[in-house]
Amino acid sequence: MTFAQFVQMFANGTMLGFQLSLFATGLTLVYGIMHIINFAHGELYMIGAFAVWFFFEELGINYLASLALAMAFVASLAITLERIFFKPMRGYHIPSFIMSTGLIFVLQVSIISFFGVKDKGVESVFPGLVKIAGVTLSVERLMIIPISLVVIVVFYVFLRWSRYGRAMRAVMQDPDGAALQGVSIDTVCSLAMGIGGAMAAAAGGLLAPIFVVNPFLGPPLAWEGFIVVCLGGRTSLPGTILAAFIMGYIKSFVSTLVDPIAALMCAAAILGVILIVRPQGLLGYEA
Amino acid sequence: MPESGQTCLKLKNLKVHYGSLEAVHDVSFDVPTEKIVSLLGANGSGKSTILKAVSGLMKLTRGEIWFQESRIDGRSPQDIILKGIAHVPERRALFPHMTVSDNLLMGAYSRKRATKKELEKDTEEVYQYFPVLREKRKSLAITLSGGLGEQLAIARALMAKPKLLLMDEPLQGIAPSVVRDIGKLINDLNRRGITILMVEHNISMSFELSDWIYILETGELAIQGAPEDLSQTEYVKQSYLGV
Repeated sequence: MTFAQFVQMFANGTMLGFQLSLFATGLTLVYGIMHIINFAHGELYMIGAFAVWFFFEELGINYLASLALAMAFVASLAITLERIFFKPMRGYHIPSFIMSTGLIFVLQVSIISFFGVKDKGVESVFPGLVKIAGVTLSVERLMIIPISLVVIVVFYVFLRWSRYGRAMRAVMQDPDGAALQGVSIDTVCSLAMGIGGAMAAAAGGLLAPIFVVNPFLGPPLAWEGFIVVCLGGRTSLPGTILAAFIMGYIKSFVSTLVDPIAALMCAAAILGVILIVRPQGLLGYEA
Repeated sequence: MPESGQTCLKLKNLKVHYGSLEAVHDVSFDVPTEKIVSLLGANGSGKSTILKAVSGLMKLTRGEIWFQESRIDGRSPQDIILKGIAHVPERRALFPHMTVSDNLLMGAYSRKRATKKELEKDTEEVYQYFPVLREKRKSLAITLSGGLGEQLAIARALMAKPKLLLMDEPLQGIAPSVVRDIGKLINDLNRRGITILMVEHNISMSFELSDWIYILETGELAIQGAPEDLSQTEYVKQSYLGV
């Protein structure tokens, strides 16, 4: 492996880490607050990518505005799904899992019926190349890093210092205790789904100009997202972000040096070992 | 039934079920304003269930709950705390991975219109009551001892500015040396005008602190009275005082 290859793989791993952080923090939030396993989270990512394609390519709206619109649209969709389908499933792992797998098909078929099954391309938003440490990197891929960082920092500030953010953390730690302080659990659950949906849409929208957009993007990422959530500690947001970067680097390095299937097997094996040694995950709390 | 003063809380023919199991059977009682009232009874007698029903965590099968002039049964916990009822639950229900100051701010969550300045003033007032919490304000709640955890749970409830404080086993898991301090604190809060309805297994402290005591047995009200009168009854002597 040359130094140039290393830098290339490291940059790709960082980009994937940010993408997975955006995607998986939403999953952690939803699991931590509602105790449901939402495998349809991947479809929110896919719909986010489609929404960016639609606003940007079809309606000609500026890319960053398209991304913001896509986040708002998917957040509204996620809140609607929560109110109709997930509210009665709160706290029930298996029924929520079955419900969410059903939703995968419903959402995929809905997108296919509107936009067809063919791949969609989003033209380059940040064209050009840049040389870092003697290695040529795509600006398009690098731009994922600052945009994701802004979204994650805004989310962190909201969660850490806002009234609703504090309420969300409280519900994650003790729902009855939070209800007794006057927190509406229904509002917090909807907010969690909305924020989770918006972040999944951001991940999808950021990747849209790099990869093709199609209705089947969701499930593979959902699997990776669940590995990340379990590895990080299920209800720990810092743990999720740490695990997302571990997963990103494994994907980048092992995919390039061996092959993509080996990368997933490697991530699953690491998850297995961590769960045996530390069942609560990397930064999770002991039950 | 206690004779003096206005009624703060009134329970009428309360019936509560856990699934098919009846936990509270036709219980009625009053809590007078600005008094300390204790609910005693063996485990499973329905004491905590009654507190949960009052604070809206449990739904009634039948009966009515009145707080001051308004009927509150069937309301959500967030409506009930807005009325002025705060609940310090069994095992405290602190937010273990939040700091002491964040736990206190959560206590004021129901006061949506409170300004940052008001909240700072109230937090400062609470810290004057609980100086150790000020020192520990940046510590996570999970790191506090049993006594400090109870202080934080009470302090958090005070941030809601309650008129009625429901306390479920406030002396549970506390070092014997701190029990008296918590007892003194309960008395102080009552002197400040807060009505207290308390569930407690520490019989001697309950008799010392309370103005009135209700004793439950398998979900029903068995006996009630002022502590000095109850302590003379054969029932209490045999069942609780071991005389």
